[in-house]
Amino acid sequence: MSKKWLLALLIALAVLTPQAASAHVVITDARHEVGAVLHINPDDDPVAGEPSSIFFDVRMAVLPSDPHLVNLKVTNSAGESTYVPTSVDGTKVAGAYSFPSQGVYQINLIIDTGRSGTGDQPRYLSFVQSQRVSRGVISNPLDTPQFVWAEVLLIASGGALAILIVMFVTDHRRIITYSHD
Amino acid sequence: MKQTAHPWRLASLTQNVRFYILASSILVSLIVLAWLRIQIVADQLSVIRLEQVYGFLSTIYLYVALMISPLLMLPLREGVKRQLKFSRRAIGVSAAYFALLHSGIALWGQIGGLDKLAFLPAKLVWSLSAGGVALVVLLIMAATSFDKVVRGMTFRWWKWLQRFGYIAALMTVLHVWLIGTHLAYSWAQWMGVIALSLLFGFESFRIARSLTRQLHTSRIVLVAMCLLLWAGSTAALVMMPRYLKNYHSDQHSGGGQVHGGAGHE
Repeated sequence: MSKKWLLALLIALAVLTPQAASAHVVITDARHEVGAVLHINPDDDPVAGEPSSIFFDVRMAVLPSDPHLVNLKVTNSAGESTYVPTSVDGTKVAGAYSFPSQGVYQINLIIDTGRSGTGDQPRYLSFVQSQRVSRGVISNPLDTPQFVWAEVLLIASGGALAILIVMFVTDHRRIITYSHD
Repeated sequence: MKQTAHPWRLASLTQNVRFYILASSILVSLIVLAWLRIQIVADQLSVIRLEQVYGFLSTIYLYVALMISPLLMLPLREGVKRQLKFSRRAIGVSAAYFALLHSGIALWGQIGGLDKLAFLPAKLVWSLSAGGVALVVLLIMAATSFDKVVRGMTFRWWKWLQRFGYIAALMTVLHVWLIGTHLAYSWAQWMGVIALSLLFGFESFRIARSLTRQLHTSRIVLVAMCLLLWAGSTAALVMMPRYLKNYHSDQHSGGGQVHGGAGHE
């Protein structure tokens, strides 16, 4: 296969690769008209029982100046919701929250645009994202899925790397002799 | 009789150090993928970490590739110098490989595709653009790393193309600084400054030596030029936070109006 076709194939594979949603990523409202970048501290991996920070950077000209129009809601798997106090700075919304225990939570940013809500002008913009908290306080143990493919891949590639190292070490003199311009 | 390495004429690839570098890079990428998937249960976080680790590995490989030229100035054994020089091409290709993985995962795993780029804040777009330029440069350099291409281009033009590696490095620094999550922490900033300052020091000496040789100036001029270049480049790096803020530093600083929550439901 020529190099040109190989490059085209790589690009095609990249384009067709299924997408996975994740934190510290772009999420859009229900109409896919407005986007927001969500980032959670620490390191996108909050610890249950410890303070964490939730940041939204909303791609709007400017957020409503009245902070009561911007609400951040965190809902646990039992459906219990908590409204998180937020601070608004330009297009950025920040909130501090301690996830009470490990689990899967839904983070929902709701912005009241003040529009009429009729026709093409939605009243509310809603950004929703799921967040799994895997560290810290445990109340109900989470399912820990097995990734058999990953275990097989780890063993296979680790073994191959070990073989490669052995090959290099045992033949290093000849490699050094042949390997030069 | 001079023994030269022509990978496609040798009885086996296994006598070429470039094979080991490239093969180990591919295996390391698979090990990282598998390890992170096992260790991190959350799909979201495993994608983020994978993108971060691949980006870090690309940066390390690029750094090593750039350091080889200055290291060749040191009083090392000729055999060691030959090996370093010969290995550099494979190290550069590995940097391009990890950069491609990093970019693909970030673009389609985190951002959600090309159509989502329009939703990104300006600073992230600039950072991704810088990263995109670095990626394109690295891929072009990787594509032209074959002996046949070097012969076709002639060594002179091929060597000229390798200079673009410094543009890739500069764009990588900008990309990492603007968007790197861990760059918001001072320890990461210090590590970056020390590593880059070391590289700047070596490169400053290399440039100063080349210039003074061409201009036939004295050793004092060489030292002065070297120190000036080193100080200037390091100062520009250290002062970068003053005129370019890391995206995550903005978030860590907080501010704005506070609105109390409406309580529980």
